[in-house]
Amino acid sequence: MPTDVDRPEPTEIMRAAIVAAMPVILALGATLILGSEVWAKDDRAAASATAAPNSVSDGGTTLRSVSVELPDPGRLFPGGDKAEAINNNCLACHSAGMVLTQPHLSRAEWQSEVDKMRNIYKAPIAAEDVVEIVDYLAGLRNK
Amino acid sequence: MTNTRASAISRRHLLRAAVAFAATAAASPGWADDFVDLNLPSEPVWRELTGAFPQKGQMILQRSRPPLLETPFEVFDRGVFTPNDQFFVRWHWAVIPQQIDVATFRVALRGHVNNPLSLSLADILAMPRVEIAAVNQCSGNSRGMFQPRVAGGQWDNGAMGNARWTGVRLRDLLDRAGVKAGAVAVRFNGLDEPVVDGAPDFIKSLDVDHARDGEVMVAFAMNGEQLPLLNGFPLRLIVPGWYSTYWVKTLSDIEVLDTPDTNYWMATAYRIPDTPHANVEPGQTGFKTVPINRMVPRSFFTNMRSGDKIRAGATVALRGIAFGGDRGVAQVEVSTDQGQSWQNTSLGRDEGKYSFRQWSTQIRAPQSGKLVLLARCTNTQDEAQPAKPNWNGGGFMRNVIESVELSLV
Repeated sequence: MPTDVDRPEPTEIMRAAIVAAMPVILALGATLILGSEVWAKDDRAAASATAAPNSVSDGGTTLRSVSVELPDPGRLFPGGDKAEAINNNCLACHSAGMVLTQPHLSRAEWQSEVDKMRNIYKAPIAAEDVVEIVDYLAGLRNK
Repeated sequence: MTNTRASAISRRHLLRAAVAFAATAAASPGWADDFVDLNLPSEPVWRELTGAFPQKGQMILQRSRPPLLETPFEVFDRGVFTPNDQFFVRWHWAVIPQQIDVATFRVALRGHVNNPLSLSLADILAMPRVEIAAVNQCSGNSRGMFQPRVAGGQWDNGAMGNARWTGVRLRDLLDRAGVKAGAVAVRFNGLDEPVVDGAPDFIKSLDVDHARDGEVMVAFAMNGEQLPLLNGFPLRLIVPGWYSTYWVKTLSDIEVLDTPDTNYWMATAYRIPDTPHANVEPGQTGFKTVPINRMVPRSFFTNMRSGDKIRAGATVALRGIAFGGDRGVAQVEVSTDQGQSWQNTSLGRDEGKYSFRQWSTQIRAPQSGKLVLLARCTNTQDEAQPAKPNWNGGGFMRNVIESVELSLV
């Protein structure tokens, strides 16, 4: 934890880090206390590849059957009630991470992204949820 | 100089680890090993490093599902071939095959052909094979550097890799099926699927003459090994010199068309302005677009990155990688005076015109101030990287001259 870092003279960036990290630390603590599996690492072991017995060989090349498991993307969009619509509608097709790491986009740009998801990628988003989703995205503070 | 660099990075890392945690933990699925600063023009700049994906080593996590995994840039300093387990990963749809049985897998050749075929992997391995070193680069590699910023995967420069691909010529496969007169395009589909019914399956096509040029191939090996599943096992289309969007993974269907392909991924997505450098002004409309196609030259510093410190007056060894796009590398030059003058560099071993090529040189650091280094690749068609960044709404085809800013100590 940043507050435990043994630095007699914290730099300015460290002070900023401590302040910036506190809400996340508190949220993380709360998540763990509530017993959520969002942060569980159980999937890591399952993610390693295992080869089935089958193989095909010719010309010095052998191809072996593969069975893998992809890691569970796990988490929800943060924000509680305000994230309800985006969590209910968007996570079926993609995880939250890339959305949350977009640069600052205007409301019109986010509206266009949500429209693309609905109209072209056929995301079954109810019309009444669209405004709530766009509100959430336009409110992301990525500057 | 490499010691200087390593310590500079680790120092920055220690100082900023907590910031990284605050900035990205909110987007974290919880299996992050570490963090990396992508030096993007605006927040958020931190990404997790993850080793959680099957058959993959440590990668920069851009998205967990469907996976977008970027190659940590220091990998490119270790040689011109990118290790399979750190080769970038990009999938469009979340339904990705997780089991492939090599005994039952088939690839179909069908459509406007005389003899539709369903070939097994044994059939493919029994055919005459070819090998080619070729760069595979995402259309949106370096999108994160676009200014004004654009929506999409915010890649740094690591959505690219170079491998030695082994496989069979697409032309040989098409000849076995017997392409009928009047064929205009060949369309490729893989085993990935959209989650939602009715969404456009990811399929791409090439003009029939391109498909039959003898270079486009169906690869079953990458750097001498079978492909990682996330890189397209068991078969991947290789389109040397063209952007990765055409390099269809888990290739299972090859369809010869007698009409132009109007599917979404050709007619609407992955389009670029039909202008020099695919460049337009932000907000500009009304320009003609074409499907993205051939790659353009790029070069990178691999043993230096902005923020590194060097000794004033010291002789500094520089090295990096370059590729010519759809041609070989003719030369890579370095400038220490903002591009007023350029000095040539030594090129490493030529692994083929579609491969990364290493370059190296030495410069003398000035006695004071800072040092801005530029690297510029010119390909064998005399096409050089531009000094001004291109811009388009898709964030495609960035190839501006790269720079690193070093401070003197």
